[in-house]
Amino acid sequence: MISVVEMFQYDFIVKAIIIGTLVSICAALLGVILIQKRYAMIGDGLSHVGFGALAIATVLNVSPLQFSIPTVVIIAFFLLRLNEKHKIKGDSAIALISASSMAIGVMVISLTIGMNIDICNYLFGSILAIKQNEVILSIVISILVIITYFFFYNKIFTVSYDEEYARATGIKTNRYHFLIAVLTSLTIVLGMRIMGSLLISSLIIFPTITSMQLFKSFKQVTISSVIISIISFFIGFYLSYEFASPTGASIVSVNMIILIIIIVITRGLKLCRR
Amino acid sequence: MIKIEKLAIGYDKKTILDNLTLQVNKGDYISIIGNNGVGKSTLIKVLLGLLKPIKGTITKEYNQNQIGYLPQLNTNKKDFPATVEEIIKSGLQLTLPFMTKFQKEQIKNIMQTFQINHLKKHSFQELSGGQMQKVLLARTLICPKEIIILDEPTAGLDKESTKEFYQLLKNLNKKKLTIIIVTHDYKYLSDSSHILELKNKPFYGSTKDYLKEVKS
Repeated sequence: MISVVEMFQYDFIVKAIIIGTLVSICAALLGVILIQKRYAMIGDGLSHVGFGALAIATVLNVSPLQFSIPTVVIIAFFLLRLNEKHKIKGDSAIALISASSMAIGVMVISLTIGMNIDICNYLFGSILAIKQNEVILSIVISILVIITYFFFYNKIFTVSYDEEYARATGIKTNRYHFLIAVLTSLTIVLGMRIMGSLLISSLIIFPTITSMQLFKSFKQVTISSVIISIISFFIGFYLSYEFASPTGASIVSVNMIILIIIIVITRGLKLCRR
Repeated sequence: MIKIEKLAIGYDKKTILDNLTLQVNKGDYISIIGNNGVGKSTLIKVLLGLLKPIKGTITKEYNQNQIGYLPQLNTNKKDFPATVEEIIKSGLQLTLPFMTKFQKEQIKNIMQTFQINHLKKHSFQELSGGQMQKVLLARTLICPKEIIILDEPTAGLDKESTKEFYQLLKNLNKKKLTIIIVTHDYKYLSDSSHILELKNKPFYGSTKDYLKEVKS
């Protein structure tokens, strides 16, 4: 308990908690849609793109956020276009872009500054990763993602649930795909600083899968995902602080344990009812 | 209502149906029949504006939002978390994140009309096939429609649910709702006013004429 109080005395930790909480909310909101649209792996692919972009930004000595946000958004857009035109199947396209970005990132770093702590932080996450000058931008962007999601909640539901029906009734589904891609890109770029590019997609997947074991309505799953995501973030963040473990890995471990507990309880209850 | 003239449709410039001319009037109930691959679903997609025709014209006297569409039952979405109420609400095409009192009434009324009030909070995926199609039809008709286009809506339904579904369509048609349906349920063809049989030389005419031709 003392260490929790102590934790909040540090300015950089308070800022990391604010951003981490906001990103956890964004990721949980998008999780339901991304999983249902079979886009869960897009999150993973884009986080690798994010790593490549962050590596290049580090080498060029430009602001990581300002460089990686437009890069990831553009790649997300191309990924969706590839998907739509069926030139390359969705999962293959993600694999191609994901591996290429990772390779570019590693090559750029190896040939210039070499692997260092910063790069490890990009891969596995760190509470120290967010630079002071990026705090405001991160907060503004994550609040923007949350507001946009709520504003388009009904349309996003319609498009995610039944795309053909949505198109037939005149909804411009491509626009909403693009919107989802942009929101996902922003969430990933913001979250990968704390979570790490290798683990950020789990922030999108775990809370939703856990919530789907408990609830049957879209609204309930969304709200529950947000709550589970925030709880996992706080516990994971605290463990990371207490045991000096990588933040991303700690948060994912908490998410994983919660999922296992929920699966065991729900399956157990089902068996008892039989 | 809809005027189709010299229409040619297909995929990737490969024509599967050519030179189709017909007129759909208000209150018509048209059954589209034919073997697999003759272009029934493609024609539906062209009518809905989801695909462009290769040749010919379609003149519609209404907006896109006055057309209702009920696709085939999609069982791929088995794990999508949604309640009956949420599915029906999506038919309102809400722009804002909240509902007005009037919109809440619309949901209540359509559920009463389709006698599915008791299913309101149920998970959609836990319903029977017949109940699912009823809910999807309620979603389609929650906003007033001039015409409803259905693509094999009873595929996968049991006999009883199929019968109930066609009775529902018959009642809607009596209220002057125009219906265009792709179907393999020949037993219910007599409910429709017109038949469009897609084949090398498509047949389009009244159900009476069609049945006469089949008998002869």
